[in-house]
Amino acid sequence: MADRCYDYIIVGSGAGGGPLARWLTAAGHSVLMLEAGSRFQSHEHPDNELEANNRLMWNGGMDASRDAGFMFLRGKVFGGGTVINQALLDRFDARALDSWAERSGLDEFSVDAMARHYDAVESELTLEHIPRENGNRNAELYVDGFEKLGYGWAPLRRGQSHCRVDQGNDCIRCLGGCPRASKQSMPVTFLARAEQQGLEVVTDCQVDGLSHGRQQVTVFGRQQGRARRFFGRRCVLAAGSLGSTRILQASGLAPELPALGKGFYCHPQFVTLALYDRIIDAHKGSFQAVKSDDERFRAAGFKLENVFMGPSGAAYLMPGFGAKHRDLMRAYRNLACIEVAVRDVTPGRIGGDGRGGLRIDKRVGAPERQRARAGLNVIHDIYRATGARKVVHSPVRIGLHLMGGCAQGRDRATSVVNPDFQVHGLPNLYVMDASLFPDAPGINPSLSIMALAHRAAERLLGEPLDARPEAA
Amino acid sequence: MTPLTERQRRAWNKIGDVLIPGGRGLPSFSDSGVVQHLETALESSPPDDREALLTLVSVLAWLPRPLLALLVAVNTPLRRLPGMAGAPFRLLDMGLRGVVFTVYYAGVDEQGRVHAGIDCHIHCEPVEDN
Repeated sequence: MADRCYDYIIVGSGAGGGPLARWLTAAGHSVLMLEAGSRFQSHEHPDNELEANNRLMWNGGMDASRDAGFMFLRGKVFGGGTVINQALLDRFDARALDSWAERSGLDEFSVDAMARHYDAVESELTLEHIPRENGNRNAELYVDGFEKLGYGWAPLRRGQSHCRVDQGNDCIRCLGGCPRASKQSMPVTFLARAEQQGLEVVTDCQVDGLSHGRQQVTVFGRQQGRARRFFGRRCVLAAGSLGSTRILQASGLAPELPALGKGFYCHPQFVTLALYDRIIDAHKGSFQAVKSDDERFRAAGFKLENVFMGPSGAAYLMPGFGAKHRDLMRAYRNLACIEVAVRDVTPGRIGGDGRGGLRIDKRVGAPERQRARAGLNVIHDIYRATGARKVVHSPVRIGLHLMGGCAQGRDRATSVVNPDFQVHGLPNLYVMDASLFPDAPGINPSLSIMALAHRAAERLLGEPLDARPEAA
Repeated sequence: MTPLTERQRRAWNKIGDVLIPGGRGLPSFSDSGVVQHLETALESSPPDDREALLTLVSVLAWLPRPLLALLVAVNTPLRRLPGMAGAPFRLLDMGLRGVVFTVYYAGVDEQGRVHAGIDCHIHCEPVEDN
């Protein structure tokens, strides 16, 4: 590996890097993947929240914005965010893609143009709509409230193959990595295929920067305290919104890229918990089973998520301390949870803190507050309609979908990456992850990142790629 | 990360007991023994942030318990201040409640009393990769 020049170096192993590696290796290219996190076999994933935060996430799951108004959770593990997310895989709609087309000037952002990329990605995954009978009482309550109030809902589509919830398995466990290799994370799907096709992987290797040359890109990193250097004819940054932006900034490229770090979005989440007099067991079985599917909500810029969390997460999200907090936690099984996820329009900014770390400026602006209020009003109505005894609002703002910073577009003044996924002016350097997003779509981004990776692979290879003839 | 000293562990136990006094079937923070897992909670933090938090906790632990409780209670509304004005209070909340609640409720206490006390049982049968 030392001094070898690969056809491609891919930095990051998540929803962008994984599919890209799969198609580049299938075409016969030598590909080296660098991942800052560690690698786990499915059955080795941590079995508690403390270990999961420590071993699978950047900064123990407590990446904060500069004013600590947001907590960002991002994966630092082989497979990236797809190991710690819920694998909720929806296509973007026209509302999301038309906005992207307008901002970027790219006709490729359309439902019709994206369809074949979605088809190709979905042919490599096992996708299931959660059957209604697999929803737990938190989902029942959500549906009950929606139907009483006349709002539209739909079952969630999840990337999963053999959760066996009917045999007593609880999917909340896989927020710390799926121990059953059922959740369609990158390591059990695209990355597994890529490795069969010759992908080489270096884990526990944090990339500090790169140097772009005419013939190759040199990538500098550290692996367990030791300086490392890697060479590739081309380099693709797939380290996520924060990671890819940081690497470009640390490489001294900010002066050439005026849009670098701008346009950061995160779908701010406003979590509510409600206490019922009956057992809800929101943590059991398929803990996310349904979603809001109402054009009024979509137009208003929010969605309501049927969701829950483990005891550590619930305890921190709940305000307060002492005896009152203890008593609420003793009623863990009586808690329900619905959150508002806002399609944010107030852009944030990603920069450096001068100590090699990140500085993320992101605030909840007036539009976000208005959208959150609208969603929270609906949630209160749902809780009232379903007999909740007490409602608690979490003061903690969370961002799980980290997007933007290296927007794709034609104009160098407002974008970092061109239509061919190249960084403007740097023909051997590419970006392929959620940092490309021109704005917040208001829909879970994972599937669309993979679909964009399919398009990127076609651009890199200079030829169309067919969908897999049979499902995984 | 350097292991916590006994003095540091006592400081965390004191603050932990203010946040989680125990009772009604649940052990207090100190009684649960989870302080031995604090290094796990802290080792992923940037070194400067970790040292600042450890120093702060050591200082706070000199305060009498009622004053500690008052400090945490007063922090609650202050953390809602917008922008940079609220930043120190939100960071204090992350450092104290965030760390203490994460360690306590993770189910890592040796006798499993915490998850038993909240009647939380999470199961997923692992499968070995092919």
